[in-house]
Amino acid sequence: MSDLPSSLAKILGGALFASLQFILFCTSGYAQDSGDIHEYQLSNGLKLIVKEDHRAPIFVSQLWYRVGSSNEPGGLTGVSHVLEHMMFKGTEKTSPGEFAELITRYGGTHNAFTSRDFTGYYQLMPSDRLELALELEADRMTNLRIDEQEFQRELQVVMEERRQRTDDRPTSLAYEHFAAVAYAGTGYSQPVIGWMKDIEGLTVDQAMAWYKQWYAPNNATLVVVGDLEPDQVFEQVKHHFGSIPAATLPQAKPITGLGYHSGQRRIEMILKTRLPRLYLGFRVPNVITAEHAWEPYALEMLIGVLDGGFSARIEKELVRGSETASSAGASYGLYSRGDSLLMLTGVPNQQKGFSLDGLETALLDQLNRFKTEPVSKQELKRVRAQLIAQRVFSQDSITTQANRIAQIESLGRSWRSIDEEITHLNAVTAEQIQQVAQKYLTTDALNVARLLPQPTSPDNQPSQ
Amino acid sequence: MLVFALIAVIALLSLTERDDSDSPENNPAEISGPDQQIKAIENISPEIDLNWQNPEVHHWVNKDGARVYFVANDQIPMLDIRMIFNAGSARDGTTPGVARLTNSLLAAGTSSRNATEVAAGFEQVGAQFGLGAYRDMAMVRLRSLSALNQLMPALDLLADLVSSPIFPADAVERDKNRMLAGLKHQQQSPSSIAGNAFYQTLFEGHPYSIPGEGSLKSIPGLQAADLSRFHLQYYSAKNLTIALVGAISVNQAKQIADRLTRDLPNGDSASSLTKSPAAKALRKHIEFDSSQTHILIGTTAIKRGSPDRFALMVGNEVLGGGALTSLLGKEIRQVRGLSYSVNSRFIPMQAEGPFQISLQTRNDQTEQALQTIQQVLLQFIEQGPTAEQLADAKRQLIGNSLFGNASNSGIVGQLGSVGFYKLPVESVFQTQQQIQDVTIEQVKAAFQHYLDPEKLTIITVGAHAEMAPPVSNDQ
Repeated sequence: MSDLPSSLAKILGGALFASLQFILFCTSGYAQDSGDIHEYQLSNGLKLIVKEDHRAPIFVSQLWYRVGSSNEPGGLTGVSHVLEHMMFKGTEKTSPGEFAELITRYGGTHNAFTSRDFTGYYQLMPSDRLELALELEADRMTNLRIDEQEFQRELQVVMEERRQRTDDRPTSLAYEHFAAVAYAGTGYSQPVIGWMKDIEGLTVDQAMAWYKQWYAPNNATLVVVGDLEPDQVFEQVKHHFGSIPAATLPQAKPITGLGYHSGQRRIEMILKTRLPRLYLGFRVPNVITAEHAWEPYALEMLIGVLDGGFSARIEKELVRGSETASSAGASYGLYSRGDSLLMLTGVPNQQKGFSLDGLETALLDQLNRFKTEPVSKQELKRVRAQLIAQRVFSQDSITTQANRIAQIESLGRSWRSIDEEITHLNAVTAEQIQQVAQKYLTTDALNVARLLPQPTSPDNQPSQ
Repeated sequence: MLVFALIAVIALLSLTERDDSDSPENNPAEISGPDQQIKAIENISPEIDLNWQNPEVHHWVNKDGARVYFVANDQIPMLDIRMIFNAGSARDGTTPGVARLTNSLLAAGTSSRNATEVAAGFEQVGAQFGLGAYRDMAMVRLRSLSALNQLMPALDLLADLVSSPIFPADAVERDKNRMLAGLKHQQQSPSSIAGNAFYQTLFEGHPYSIPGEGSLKSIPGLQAADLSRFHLQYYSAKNLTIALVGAISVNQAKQIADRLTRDLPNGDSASSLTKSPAAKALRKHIEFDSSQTHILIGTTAIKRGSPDRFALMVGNEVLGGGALTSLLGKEIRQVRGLSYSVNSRFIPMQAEGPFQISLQTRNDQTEQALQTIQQVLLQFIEQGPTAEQLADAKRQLIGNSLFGNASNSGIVGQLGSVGFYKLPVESVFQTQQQIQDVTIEQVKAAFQHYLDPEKLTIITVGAHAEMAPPVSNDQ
């Protein structure tokens, strides 16, 4: 299947609703030369960032709205994502599906994603047709029409999407339950795609109200990267978006919920799965929520020491050394509106006689070691080299560059802070890693979820 | 039940709509109708300008016999390298899994370094190293910063591990366990089960039927000596394509290629694969406890170098390649809401690779989905694309091809593929013109030649649903 080089278009294929916390390494970017980034603001509040990249005659245009599943009230979960689907179903100017048809007809690809914090739309096209992308995007910022029949049909599609992505995937389902517990009391405890019952009950009026509340130029960031001249882009953007009035925006739902040390929580899930799996999570600050600017970078380095490849501790000591885990990993996201989860997950090596208990002990031992023993100079050097190189490598894709800028700007920070990441990473000390471990990775902050296979019966065996 | 009834009503309404002459497929004039208010298209020529200065491709065969392809790009201080050996699972023979295991254990230790030293060596300089074995290819990838103090240590390591792996016994055992765990994991994934069944059925008796990840039977028996033998036979310079893209000079690229092949085993290039089996009508259902049924429909089709490749590519884009605008996408997703996604693709390989249509749908909609697909396919084979569909498909494919050239990783992938399949070097950046030249008649002729709607292999994996007619297992 992979004998074909996967084209960029295929990578962009499916509609995404991934939560941002899992794409730390993919979204890392680093503007080495800030000279080619240009920033503009329209009087209606729309922010525009243009980055030149002339390697091929194409551009990517991304429009991010600051609304996602974490803003949704109970009972209305999934509305941001359903609205994202309806944004392709017609406006006062276009018929259902015409947006997609025009973009592809003119040689482009497009898609959209919904995350916990944002809803984003993008087009990737030959560079002489920015005008088309902008006109269509401006049109649906203000002229959306939702047809009842189209809406009902799309709800069915979204319910299929939920079955496919979550209900039929034990690990997705397990993560959904885990997040519900670990993020208890915040909008992050709700799945981005929504609970099935909520999706089923959504109405046109609810989706339209959500659209009118949140879709406005002063709640959006437009990022264009590619083979274009920045001032000309600005002129075109003014032409298409300039007359759209700013709106009075609702207050974004705060991400508060339980604090950092609110007691240990454990859940056990018995699902249709073959392999048991363990999830450990701690609520921790990130670049947006941190009181101390260095803490998120110390946490990012800590994750790198644990899970920065084959020579990192998890692979070296747990997968190869003690053979406790047949696979394991750690993750942490630097950027989200509310606190992040520092997560560890793994599958015990049953062939070597290890169970979930053994794996949990081994992973917690690894975390405890950070509290008592400073990370070695060599490990620091390795993690730093990797994190900085990744930021250089991420410039290879214009989409990644645009993602990175749009994400940071949508969180209310400047794209210039991308440069500061390197300074922060260079400044992290072994003592600081020790301090964040002591402060946040404590027993009373721990969330544990265990995914267990159903007892074997002839009913859940595949047969030929 | 209310929901089901509602779906049925919607489906009926949709059918009526579809027969209406307003449908875009039947009446091209309709397309420009609602567009009237989108002004941008008045100023844009639909045709994509192909007069773009593509970067120069340097190609040579080095002194050890490796085919090398290089494109310089100074914008980002990094270098991408791919080494592709003709050593995929099609070479497994009677030991399924050996190609995959050999590839995945290249970094498990060499005559002068242990596994941790290899990994730490790359990781200390921030380099990213990757391995992968597929049906045709066994690949080794490196992405490094191009500054020499970071690049050189990474290159030394790369050369060492492709030339002198020792396959330590404990690592072999560990990886075998990992593959066994992976096989168990696959058993809980209906899409993996369907994919394996599809290849096993379609390519019965051919090397492509071999499951690359091995089987519960074959993996336990594999030993380090099997891997060493496989390495010695297939990881030679003559069996290798090297692709490089990045911030280095042609001279540096030459030195790097020579360094990488200097210590490789001496061996010949692998023999050609036998012809893939002919298409066959066959339906197979595998019972699986899931809410959705995974469906794969297809046949064997073309080799990578086939002159019909572009006609099939363009035709497939109309049929089911471009997910949201394809004929299958329209009928399955937009009109009937049967699935979140449906797509079709040709996978041209060394021997005749498959054509496949894949989708998932709620169990009780399986028969409806199958009927719809067969109708759409039959109609397309008979009628081919309209002029407008053809033009749209070409623009989509040309656009995609431009996007593929917009990153170093995209270009290095293309170079590797052109080299591995021994296509002319000019073809790296010629794809767009070749797509542009395809005619309706070529598409029709190619589809009629390669796709016989009477000879399709159909695999379904899911729970037997009450609403569907009984599923048969014809095997």
